[in-house]
Amino acid sequence: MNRKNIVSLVLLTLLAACGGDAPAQPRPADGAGAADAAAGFALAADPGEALTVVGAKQAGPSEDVLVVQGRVQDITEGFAIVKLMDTALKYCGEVHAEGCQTPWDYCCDTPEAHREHELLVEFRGPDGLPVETNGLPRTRLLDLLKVRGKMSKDEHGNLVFVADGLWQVERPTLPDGLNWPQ
Amino acid sequence: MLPLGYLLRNLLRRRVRTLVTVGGVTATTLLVVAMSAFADGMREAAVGNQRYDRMYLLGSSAEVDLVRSVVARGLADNAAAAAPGVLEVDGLRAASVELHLATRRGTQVGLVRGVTEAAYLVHDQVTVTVGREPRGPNELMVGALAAARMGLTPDEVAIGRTLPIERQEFTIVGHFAAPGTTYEAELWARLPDVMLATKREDVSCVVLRMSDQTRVEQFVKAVRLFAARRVDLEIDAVPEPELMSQLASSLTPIAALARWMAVMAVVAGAFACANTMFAAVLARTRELATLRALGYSPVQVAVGLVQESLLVAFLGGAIGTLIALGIGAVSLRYPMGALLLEADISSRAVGLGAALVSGLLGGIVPAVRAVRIPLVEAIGGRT
Repeated sequence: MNRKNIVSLVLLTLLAACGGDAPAQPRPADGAGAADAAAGFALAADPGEALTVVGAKQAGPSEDVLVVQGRVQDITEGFAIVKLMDTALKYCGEVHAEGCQTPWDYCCDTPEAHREHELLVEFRGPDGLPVETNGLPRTRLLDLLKVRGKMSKDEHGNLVFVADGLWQVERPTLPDGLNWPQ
Repeated sequence: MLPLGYLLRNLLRRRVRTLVTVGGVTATTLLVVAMSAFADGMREAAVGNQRYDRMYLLGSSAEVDLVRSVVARGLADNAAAAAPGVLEVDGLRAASVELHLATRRGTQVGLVRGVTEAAYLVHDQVTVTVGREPRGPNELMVGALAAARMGLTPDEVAIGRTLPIERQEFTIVGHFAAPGTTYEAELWARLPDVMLATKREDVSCVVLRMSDQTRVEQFVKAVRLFAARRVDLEIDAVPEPELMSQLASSLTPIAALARWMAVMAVVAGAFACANTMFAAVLARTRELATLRALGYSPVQVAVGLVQESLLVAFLGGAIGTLIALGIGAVSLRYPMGALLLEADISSRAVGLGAALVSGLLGGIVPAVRAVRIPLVEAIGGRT
């Protein structure tokens, strides 16, 4: 085998390994580092006696300023919106103190129980829409919060608690070896 | 450096051993190409569908699990009609209400997707290749890999044949392709027919496709806000890449196993090369010592032996790569779908690279051993 043949073999092999690239797809733009517009919602002091989530829902829409207490069940990414769960409904970590891999959720309960015990809470800006934010101040899943605001009902019949302040009452910790979901 | 002609002559002097080693490296290369293609195929199966301009509305208790997701049909229709930022073509909104389910046929499992007309607008990678899409009652369209997924012959999924879904016979009216996606392993039928066959009154999800490709971030935000505020619809909004990453994470261990097998194949190839080179060194102790006596340094002699090993490995790798190219694509099923095992550019490059690594690893130890023998002893023929 001479050098010419070796070069031909190398070229043939390289040709065999050649191919095309997949077409590019649109990607989302990088998240802008928006100023934390929600920081102002943190209350300086405990707002006082609070209603339960179920109690506040039963009271219905009102122009009165209320304080409602519940656990953070869900935080809407990118917005100052949380769902509070009535403390009468236990989160998984309370039900299964050991061995639960997702103690921060309420997967042990039925959707019907969720519906009955949860409340949508919105922190709105001057435009009347939920504030866009990278996170509510010092708030994460399962935090026991008091929120101050008014209960309203939207055009679809959903009860919405429009809050103007929040106060962290208690923060549970996770067992060793578990991390909060990102 | 030792002349290339000298190295080649040495290989040709031991034709049989060289050919056996080339054969071993060829097999190593083919195995590495197959394992690499399999691992890539698994990854591609998970992310091939992935599009940034699509979002899923799942049942609020489903987290990000499409299989566990349940949405009442009426609520799904409302969500499809009201979701913001959705593409609209000739009055048809790109909001696809779908029911996903697995159906058994003996020991095999088929993946069924009940769809409406909007599905073809949302999942635009799907192309009807033969026949047509389902338009009448109990009609079915079969993906290019669905037969492989269900262990059926091409004849059993020919146009006009029937397939049972939950004990209802569905007539095959078309075949479709969607290369590189999980759709190809699926069977598509009209949503009402699938709901009727399964006696279900709920669906799995609503898939949305956005109208303005340049405003992906705004679309994702708007749909998230919509889903969060419409508590009455009991839905969560999940971007498709997030959903697919769940599937990818479930396939990762299988892909990792395939890659480990490829590494093991490289080690086996290295042993084959090492065996050949040890034999070559043992047979040529006096010859190699003579080279050193003539003025070639131990490093030059060692490099020459490694080059010999690399040459054998390259020949084996080249043949293996060409055979892989000749074999083409092969259908393969896995627990949640099916994939097309194809020796693409990256797999072929990995295969060839693995062959060269085998040659390099297999050549170094014998070469070092050869030049570490004292010159006088080597000339005397002692090993």
